[in-house]
Amino acid sequence: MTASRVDFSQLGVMIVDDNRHMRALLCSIMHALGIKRVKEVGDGETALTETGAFEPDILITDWHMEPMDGTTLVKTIRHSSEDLIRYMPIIMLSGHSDMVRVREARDCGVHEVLTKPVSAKSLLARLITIIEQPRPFIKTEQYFGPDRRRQDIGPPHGETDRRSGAASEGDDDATEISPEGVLAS
Amino acid sequence: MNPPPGETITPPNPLERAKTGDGPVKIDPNILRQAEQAVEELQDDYAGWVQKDIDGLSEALAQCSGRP
Repeated sequence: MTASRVDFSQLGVMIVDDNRHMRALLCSIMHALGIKRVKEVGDGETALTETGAFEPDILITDWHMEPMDGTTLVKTIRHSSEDLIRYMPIIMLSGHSDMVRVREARDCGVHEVLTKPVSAKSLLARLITIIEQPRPFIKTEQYFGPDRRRQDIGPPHGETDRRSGAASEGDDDATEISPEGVLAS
Repeated sequence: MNPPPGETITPPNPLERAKTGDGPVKIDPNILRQAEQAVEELQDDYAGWVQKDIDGLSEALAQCSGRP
């Protein structure tokens, strides 16, 4: 079995963030990865309006925005009547890495949480994890979203499991990110 | 008491089309380097962007201060 690559030119990504500098950073990373279809919007409401026409494969959203924040956007997407939208992989960006916030994001139905400052390596790792390890969805009375139990699939691609210290596949050929390669929003 | 078990749904994975090959995905170091380069190039612009924002805020503050 030969190693696979990802042809990012096949993908369309929507970036939702009220900070235009952060949008510029994320768009720049997306284009550098080879993603040609990139749509950037400044808030959750616009994202919902544009989602139907743009049909993103992956949505990357900030948490704190007005008038509609990231968690409300995610919950609204998960309640969509269209499968293409309802099951869309979502990466949530957050300035807070504490467990309570990460759990809150996870419980609203995101696939991945990425804490700021965002690096190219961490974003690439999340994208590959989403593509390579699609999660089943769970539907209960209180929750609809990707399976929140990560223990069977390990940490995001190329990252270290904080519990065991073990690295996931892909770590061996991943380049280290220098502090200069990281931008805070 | 445990919550009632949920229904498990396996949606189709349209992102599969972006995968080339049948083995585990390896990060292409060239692509990662390109992405890092893109971030580094933005760093030069970033200070200018922030300065522009600060100038705008300072101007707004000055205008507000002048109108009690």
